[in-house]
Amino acid sequence: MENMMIQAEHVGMEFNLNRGKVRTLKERLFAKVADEQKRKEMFKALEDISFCIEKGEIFGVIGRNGAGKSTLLKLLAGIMKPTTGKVITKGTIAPMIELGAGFDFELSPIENIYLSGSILGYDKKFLDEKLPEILSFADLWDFKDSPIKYFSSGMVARLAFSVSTLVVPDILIVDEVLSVGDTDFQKKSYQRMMELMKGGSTVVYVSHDIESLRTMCNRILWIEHGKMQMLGESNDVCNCYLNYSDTQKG
Amino acid sequence: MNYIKTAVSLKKYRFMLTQLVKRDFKVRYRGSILGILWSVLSPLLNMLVLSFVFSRVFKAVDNYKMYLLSGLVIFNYFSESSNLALGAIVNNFGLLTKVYFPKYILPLAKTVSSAINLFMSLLAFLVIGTFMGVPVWWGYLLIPYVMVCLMLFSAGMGMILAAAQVFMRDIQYLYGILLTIWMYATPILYPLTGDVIPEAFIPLMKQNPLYVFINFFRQLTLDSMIPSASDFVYCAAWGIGMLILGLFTFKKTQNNFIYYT
Repeated sequence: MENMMIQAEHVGMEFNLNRGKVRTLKERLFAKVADEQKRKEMFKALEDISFCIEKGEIFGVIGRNGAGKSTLLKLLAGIMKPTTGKVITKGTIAPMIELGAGFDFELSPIENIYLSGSILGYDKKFLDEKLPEILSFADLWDFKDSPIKYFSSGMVARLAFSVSTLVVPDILIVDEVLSVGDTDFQKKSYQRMMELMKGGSTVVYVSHDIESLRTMCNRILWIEHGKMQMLGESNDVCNCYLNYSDTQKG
Repeated sequence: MNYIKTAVSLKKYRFMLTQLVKRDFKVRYRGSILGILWSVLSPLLNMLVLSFVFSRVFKAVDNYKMYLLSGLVIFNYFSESSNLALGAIVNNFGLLTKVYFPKYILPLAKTVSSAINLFMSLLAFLVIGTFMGVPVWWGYLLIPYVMVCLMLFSAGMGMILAAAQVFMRDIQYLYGILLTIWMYATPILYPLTGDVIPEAFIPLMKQNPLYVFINFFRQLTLDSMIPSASDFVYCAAWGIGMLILGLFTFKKTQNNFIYYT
């Protein structure tokens, strides 16, 4: 058990489907009648998910859109708390669930590196050291002082990727962020991800790209409608998943 | 124990806090010519307008301009920081759903970034004061005491508002009205004397925490006297009490924020 980096025990997550609705004072006061109805509109995003991930493992997660993959990642990253069950993690976690956390579009790349870096938990000394590296990697030296609101979306994405992949954390959580920027940058970022993954981190990786999952991951968890469909060797799971997708289409 | 944990995490996330404060500061005055000078000018202009209107009415107050300004400096800080903190969670849902960090840092950053404004306008008050018959003396060393209490109070209030706003978006409108009422219920424009306020209300109005802070500050500056021991206790009690209440409310509710994005 000492090598266990992530442990999920009977994890379940429910969402209230009413949450998009307006919650005004009036509704609050007169909501009692509707309460009964509301309780039925809970959506189970995840149900009874259990697994362990060992140190150094690259763990893939597949499933169709809306199967609950991103929810699972958010639970692992500690951004959300599960409704039932529990998640235990060890060490530092770098969630790359969406890029560009905390960017302010009025600020320059340098200012954003410090802002976003601080939110991701890096300290000043570290960022001072890494600043040239980040700017070079994102290839933004020429624009280092202009507000990023004038940037193209590709430039912003490059900056975001460069900030998020600074360190080798104990646990790296990746939600399909590789498809960033133009072809050149995609190659660069792919290499960078591989470096990170081989740098001894435990990786949880979500993707729709079956072939990349097959080659990179040790084990894969397949989620279907929030439930565990299959958990096993990457080859086996990929094959079954492909078969299943075919039959669904046919 | 939880509060100790909070203090520890605050140390760890101090860099993030300073970055958030810097961001607020940079973005706020970006593009304006006078920039930070506005934090001095706006209470000053406000004071001039109000004193033009009211100085006749409240002739009995000594040094009415400075009396007014002292109240405005403190009330403006409270109103600004609590208003900004109110939206701190709701306006940052994008962040909250991407990264894990202690959420209370967001409203706290607003309290701190507004404090820069407070500092500037305070400085202006003291400088102008020397020309307006408010002499500098060693009692000024106690000004930080009341300001820290005020900031703790505002931080607590900010956390409560930020959390409440998540669950009920009406809070921002209600709070806007509450602030207006609060402003008029606090002796900023008028003195707390029997000829202005019905005697029966005076003891009640003295309980107003903002009055406690303003009165403390006025004694130190306008009256050049050290406030009584009970004033010291009241200040600290309101500051610390509100902060604890705020932290408590915030911690109780923060895990549910994410369902109300």
